Amino acid sequence: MSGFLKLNGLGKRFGGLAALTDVTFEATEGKVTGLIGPNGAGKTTCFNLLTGTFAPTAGKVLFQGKDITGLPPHKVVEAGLARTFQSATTFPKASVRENIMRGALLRHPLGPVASILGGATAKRAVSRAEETVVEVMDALELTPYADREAGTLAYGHQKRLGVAIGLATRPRILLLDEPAAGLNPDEVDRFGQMLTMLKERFDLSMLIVEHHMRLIMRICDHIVVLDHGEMIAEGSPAEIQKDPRVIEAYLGGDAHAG
Amino acid sequence: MSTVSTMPATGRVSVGGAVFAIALVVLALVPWFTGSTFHFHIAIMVCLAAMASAGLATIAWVGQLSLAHGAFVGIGAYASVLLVTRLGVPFLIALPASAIVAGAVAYLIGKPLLRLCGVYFVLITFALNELFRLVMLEFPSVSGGSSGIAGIPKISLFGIVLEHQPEVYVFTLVMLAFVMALLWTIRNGPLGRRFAAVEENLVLAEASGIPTARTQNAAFVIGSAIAGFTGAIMAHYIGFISPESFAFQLSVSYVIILVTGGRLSLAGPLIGAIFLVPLPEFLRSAQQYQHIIYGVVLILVLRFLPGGLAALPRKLLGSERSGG
Repeated sequence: MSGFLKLNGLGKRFGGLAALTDVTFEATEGKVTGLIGPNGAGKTTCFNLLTGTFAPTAGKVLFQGKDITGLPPHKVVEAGLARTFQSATTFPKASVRENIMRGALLRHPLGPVASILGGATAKRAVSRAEETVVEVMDALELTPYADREAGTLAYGHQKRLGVAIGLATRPRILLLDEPAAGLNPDEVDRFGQMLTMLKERFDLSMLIVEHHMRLIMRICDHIVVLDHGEMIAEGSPAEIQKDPRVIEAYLGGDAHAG
Repeated sequence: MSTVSTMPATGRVSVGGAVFAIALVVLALVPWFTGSTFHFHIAIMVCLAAMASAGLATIAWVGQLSLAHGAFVGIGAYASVLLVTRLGVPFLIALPASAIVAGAVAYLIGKPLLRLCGVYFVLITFALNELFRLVMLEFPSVSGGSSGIAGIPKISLFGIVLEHQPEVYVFTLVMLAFVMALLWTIRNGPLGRRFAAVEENLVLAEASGIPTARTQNAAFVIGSAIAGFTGAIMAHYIGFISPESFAFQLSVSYVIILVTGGRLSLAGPLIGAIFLVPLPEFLRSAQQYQHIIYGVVLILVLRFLPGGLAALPRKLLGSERSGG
């Protein structure tokens, strides 16, 4: 019954519209799980239910045996699920170092007095979090930009910084929302390699929502396919590529591979 | 910008900071040079406006704008006056108590209302300010109704009554220094870091594990408590309060001071108050144009100095373009 990240009959209705119906799968520890589907399949809705952006109208999300259904986003992060955003999302006016620090401090909580007045306890928390900042900055090759204002970085670097902030919260699983969006084919390949490296170095599991098939097929161990808000298939990349239901969903009802 | 830990600019900032500090000290001493009671009075009003606007700035640091700030000044004023006149509490106890009362009211209001962002929060606080005025008018036994409460006892500290303006000014200056020191500490501490994160990117802050709702409410409580604190001093200095003293116009004047001075810098409220509070006093003959002057100043600042007057030196030095 334990499992790692389990979605159990997850559903979301917006008024009369069923955006997601009865989605059940498990993201295995230490593996990369891909969540794919045509436009409007419910990938983003599913992602938002996992990260706490919306509360589901049916079903449960279990993480390491703990029920995290409907928790607010900051509690979900605390439970060990960090997320990244589709577009480059940073704290634009702060330095790269400070951006990452804001994530890292999650693991160094303070009491109310220390957080208002600062002092020695707060300084110690910051210097301990600094270790994480240095490590994450190094892993994402952001060290040369440590003191740059995040808003002035190139798009690709901002995307990496987004991953860095998530990593700094010391997650067990990293949830990536279309990491390839806005990158050119070359950058996508490098981003893929970087994710594989991060997975080893930080002993991570990953769940990736993505359109980019080459990236998905290369780095995922397990793939879940959604269509019209329902799960239509799951399996290894090789199985998914051959699955007739998946081909039909992507190419349309009457299409035959010609 | 003046975010936490922007290391490289430290050298230049500290020189600028020293110049700014010296200028402030010189300005603070002006009333003693002239010896005019009128100038002492204006100086006190500058301090009070700076203090209240600093409270409003705290709320602005998490990206919210409160139009109920005048009402919180009023809550503090009434709390202190009622404690002193009805219960015989010494002013030195009524003063922190009024901050706590205003903070507690802010906490209760902030919890449900801070779900609203941007213009919705602004509108609801506008309505709350009017509500405060109307409710107080409904209870003349508490508020004195539209004729207000007159003859409020002067500020007294350990039995020493501050009868004259110069004494009140010294006390107000010390209190302003205390409030600014507190805000400086908060801004440079862990909570200030969270404030900045929430202001810059609320969604990302939440996704980084920062409880954004609680953080915004903390800012609202601290800022409103400072408003209440200011209100207590104001009431006992002026000696008269009525619900109309804390009407919507007061809230708007704080917003104008804050925006003119600089919304996101610590020095902003000080600069805004120093610049704007004496202005109508020295333009007495042109009093009917007062609002026009305020309006023109505000438009000019918003057009040419979105970072407020506090951003002026940086702009003149041409060092950096701020991301506004």
